[in-house]
Amino acid sequence: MSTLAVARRYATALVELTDAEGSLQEVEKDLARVAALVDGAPALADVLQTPGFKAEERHAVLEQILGKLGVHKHTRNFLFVLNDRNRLAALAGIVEAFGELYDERTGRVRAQVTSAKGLDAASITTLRNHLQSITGAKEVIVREDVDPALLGGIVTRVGDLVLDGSVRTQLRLLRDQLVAGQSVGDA
Amino acid sequence: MTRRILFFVAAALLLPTLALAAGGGGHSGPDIPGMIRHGINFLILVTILYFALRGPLSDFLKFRRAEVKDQLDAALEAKTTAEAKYAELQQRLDNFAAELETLRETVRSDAAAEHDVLVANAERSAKQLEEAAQRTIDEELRRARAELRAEAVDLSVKIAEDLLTSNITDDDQARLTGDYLSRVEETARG
Repeated sequence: MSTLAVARRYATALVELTDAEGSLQEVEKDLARVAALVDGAPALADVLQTPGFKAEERHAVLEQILGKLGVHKHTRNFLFVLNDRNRLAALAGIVEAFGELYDERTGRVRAQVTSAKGLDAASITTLRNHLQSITGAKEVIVREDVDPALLGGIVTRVGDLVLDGSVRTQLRLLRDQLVAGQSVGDA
Repeated sequence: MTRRILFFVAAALLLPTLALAAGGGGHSGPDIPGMIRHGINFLILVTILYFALRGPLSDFLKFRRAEVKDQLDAALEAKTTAEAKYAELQQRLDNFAAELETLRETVRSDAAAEHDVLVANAERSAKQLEEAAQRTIDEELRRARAELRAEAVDLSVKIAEDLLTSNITDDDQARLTGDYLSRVEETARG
């Protein structure tokens, strides 16, 4: 079975359980925290995800980390199950799949906002509110990225929806019109 | 005819008798009784021959007559055919000059028509070649113009990008952000 399928299967099981137990939101946040911690600590990732350490040793490490993070019992038990089954290497995929399933169940969408220069908080909030109106989502999570190659303006992607207001794209459209022999503004 | 044959047969049979009679000149006189006896024998022989040969000889002669008649008819028919052929050839010979002139005229006419067709075909082919060449030239010209235009546009866009990169200010970025948010808001309102 592929890693993606494994991740999807574990994520689905966890979503079903936590949704039924009413701990879906809390576990989602726990998993995000754990994923961020592992992602930011390569040494920890090595311990948890390489076969050089025994399951008992990984369990002990997890015990300490999860104790300090104060995660929900479902989060804790789920991670121990992954450790017992040597599936911690798939943790990132599981967290991503869990997030997608969580989004589907809670009406949450994720927006990738790329701008030539960093946006201020007010602009982000305004954009989030507009995106919420456009998508009809209950919540919009904005992930911001900066790409100077845009020259100016913003590009937002929400699923298949792309709102491209970048200067680079406008220049490209202008170039296509000129090459096609159209007067600027015809198209 | 039959009488003539009988005459010759009788003569042929009597001549030896006369010879024998002449050879007997050593005696006192002709042997009349012998001659009579020979004559009677001869008459008997002639009578026998006459009755024996009368039927076959008649048939032979009839057959021969018919054969000769057929040969004569065939010769007459061949002669008639030959005369007709001769007359036809003679007429053709008489008309040969006219036919020759007609033939020459036909050949001249056909040659002229063929010439016209060849010229028309050649002109059509030449026109098609010219049109194809013109199309190729037009297409190449169009392509060259498009390439030149694309190169010029790419160069212009690159210059514009460089200018924007070096000259765009924070205020410009803020204005672009504001414009973008306004358009997104319009989209949200539908």
